[in-house]
Amino acid sequence: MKYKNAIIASLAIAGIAAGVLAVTAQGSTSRLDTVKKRGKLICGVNATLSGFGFLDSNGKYSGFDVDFCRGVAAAVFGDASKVDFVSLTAAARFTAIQSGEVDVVFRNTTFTSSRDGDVGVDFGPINFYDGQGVMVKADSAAKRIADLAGATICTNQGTTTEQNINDYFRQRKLQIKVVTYQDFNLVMAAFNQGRCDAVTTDSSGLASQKATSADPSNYRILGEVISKEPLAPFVAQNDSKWRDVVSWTVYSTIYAEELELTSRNIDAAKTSTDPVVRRFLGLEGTSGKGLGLSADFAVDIIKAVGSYKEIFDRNLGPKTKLNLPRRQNANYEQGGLLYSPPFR
Amino acid sequence: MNSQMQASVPFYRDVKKLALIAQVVFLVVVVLLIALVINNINLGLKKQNLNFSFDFLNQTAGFQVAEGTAFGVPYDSSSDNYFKVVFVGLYNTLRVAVTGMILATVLGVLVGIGRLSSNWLVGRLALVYVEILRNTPVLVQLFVWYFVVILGLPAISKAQPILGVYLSNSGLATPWLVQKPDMPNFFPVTIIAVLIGLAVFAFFSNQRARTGKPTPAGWYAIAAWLLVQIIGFFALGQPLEYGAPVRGNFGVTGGLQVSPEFTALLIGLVVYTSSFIAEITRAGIQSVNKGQTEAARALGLGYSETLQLIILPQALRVMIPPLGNQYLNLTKNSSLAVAIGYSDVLNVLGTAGNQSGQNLQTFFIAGIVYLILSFTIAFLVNLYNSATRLRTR
Ligand SMILES: N[C@@H](CCC(=O)N[C@@H](CS)C(=O)NCC(=O)O)C(=O)O
Repeated sequence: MKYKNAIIASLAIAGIAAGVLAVTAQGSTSRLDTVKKRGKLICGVNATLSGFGFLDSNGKYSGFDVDFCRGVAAAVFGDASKVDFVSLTAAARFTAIQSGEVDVVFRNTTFTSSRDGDVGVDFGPINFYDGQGVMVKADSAAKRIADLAGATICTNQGTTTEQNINDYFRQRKLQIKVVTYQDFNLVMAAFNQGRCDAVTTDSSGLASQKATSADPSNYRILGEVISKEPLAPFVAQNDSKWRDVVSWTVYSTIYAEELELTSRNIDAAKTSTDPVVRRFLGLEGTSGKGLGLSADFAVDIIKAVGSYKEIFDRNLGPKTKLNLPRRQNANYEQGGLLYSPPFR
Repeated sequence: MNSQMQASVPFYRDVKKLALIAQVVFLVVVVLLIALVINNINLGLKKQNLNFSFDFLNQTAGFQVAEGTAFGVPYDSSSDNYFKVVFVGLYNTLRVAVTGMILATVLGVLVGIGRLSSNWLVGRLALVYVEILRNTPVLVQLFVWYFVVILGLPAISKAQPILGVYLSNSGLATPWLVQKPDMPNFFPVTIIAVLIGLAVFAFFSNQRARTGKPTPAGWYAIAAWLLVQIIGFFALGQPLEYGAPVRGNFGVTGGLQVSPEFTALLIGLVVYTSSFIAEITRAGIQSVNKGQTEAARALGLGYSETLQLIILPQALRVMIPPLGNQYLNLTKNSSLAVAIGYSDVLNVLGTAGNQSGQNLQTFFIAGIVYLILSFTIAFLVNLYNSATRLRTR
């Protein structure tokens, strides 16, 4: 009966082959259709960065980026709870999109030309303007970043930060040593053990690490910002239909702030006579349908997660541990950089 | 019709033919599957607008590597390309793997002998050592070695040098003969010296086996190694100079520096692997017929002579194939380096892939690199195995 095994093995392999074929054949539908069919959004986030993406001990995700994921789910399904989160390290986030493991990634990711071009992802609108900073121990002699010549600086792998910090010192003809770890928890562990003289990453990340540490007064964030880190969501390349959904979700939150709409007053706004508001709420015009969503998708988003201001305040604002200023992340009307294209 | 049926068995009843058909079907399916996978990769790449090219290897890498000297040549992040960076990573992997294999073998054999010791305490200690290390994940062990043990050493600012040697949580810094910057690279000399030393050792050990006369093969080997180094040193115009670590604002510079990441990874891999090698050694020794020990004792050989001259050489034959497996494991486990910040080839490739946006290619390179490393180890082990195989006359 030797040959029986061989036949079974062949059949099994043929089955796998058929499976591969089926996957291949799936081809060119938009991710939006896949998501709708699945009935759930799969969103890649950070699980260890309090304020942006954090998985608590009850298995619940929270944070700025997490709320945007919920917003996308609300836009597609009218139900912000229809989302599964996948926690991604910095190094794994792009392959997670390329392989189709997740639909969209909101994970404090810097929008750069090489990621757009070479990596094969497409970015949505910038939802947080950031820059790279450096943090030292409170008792460090370093007052400015340049004082760290000769120092050991630690960061996490797979980020823009490795190159930025090297550029900064290279340009000033100063030497440093960079030690790179798999994720930022390990970076902080090594920093706390005295292996690193400083750590570097996005300023927001530093603020989060400092604020959520056992004793924030142990650390000092140096004043300078050495790079531009515009953080944006991204999706797989060449799927503009799906990217549109992600983009207009982010814009909805920004536009809502411009119109002074919030999760609390949006129902009442339905009686508004202002055509701009009426179009945003889907009472006039057909913008939602063109995007493959319901006419009132923006209402679903704002009801579920609120305007940009509400999302910011809830996760990063003065009432939180992080207490970040709005600065560039204020609306353009307040002198910031946030600006939504009109809904019309 | 009846007679025909009897003359030829239908193919679906003929076991031999069926087996052949099954094999052909199997082969076709495998080939088809491979073609499908390749096709699928191509489609996926096309869909994402990616092209699978390795041109990026010529571009300037522009990021730092903590341990950036490969084969004696320092890496310069402002001008060196990705290709060079991969090489640096490869060197770091080789460094920890080769040192690790040697130390793990020594430690493992000692513990394995300890397991069989007639001394109750030694035997129990060896048993506890083996069971604890073998049954906990190597990643957890690495974290303990790195974050608890090595980084638990005093900070460099507080470390007191002993005879010019600093031991701190920034690693070990010791006075050493270091490469002069603008002189020929001394590294190849060191490698050649080691190889010649090994050859000398092999030659004289062999001679002992043939003639039975004890020769101090180890001493000859060391002498040869030293001689080659000295000749190389003068032939290259004295490219080394004395360097001692000096304290700066941040840590120490100069001399020979061994990083805490390297140390922790090395200790972690050595200790973990040694627990498996100990078991292999024990099994090897137990596989040697007890009569051999008794005969050796009867001839008046002591315990350690019996072990060294009679038991271990015979045990080695059984031990070599599983030892080879452990060497492969150690090399592959070294890819956990990124968890504790050591710049091995996978760590460096990860950064390179991210920096250049060529993740797929860098994963591909990583696969090839580990494949080549594994094949090389397997090849060398097989070579040694056939050289020491029992020859029947
Ligand atoms: N924005 C940068 C850095 C992103 C990044 O990885 N940031 C760190 C620190 S803010 C982080 O998310 N750490 C959490 C982790 O590694 O688990 C990039 O896109 O490369």
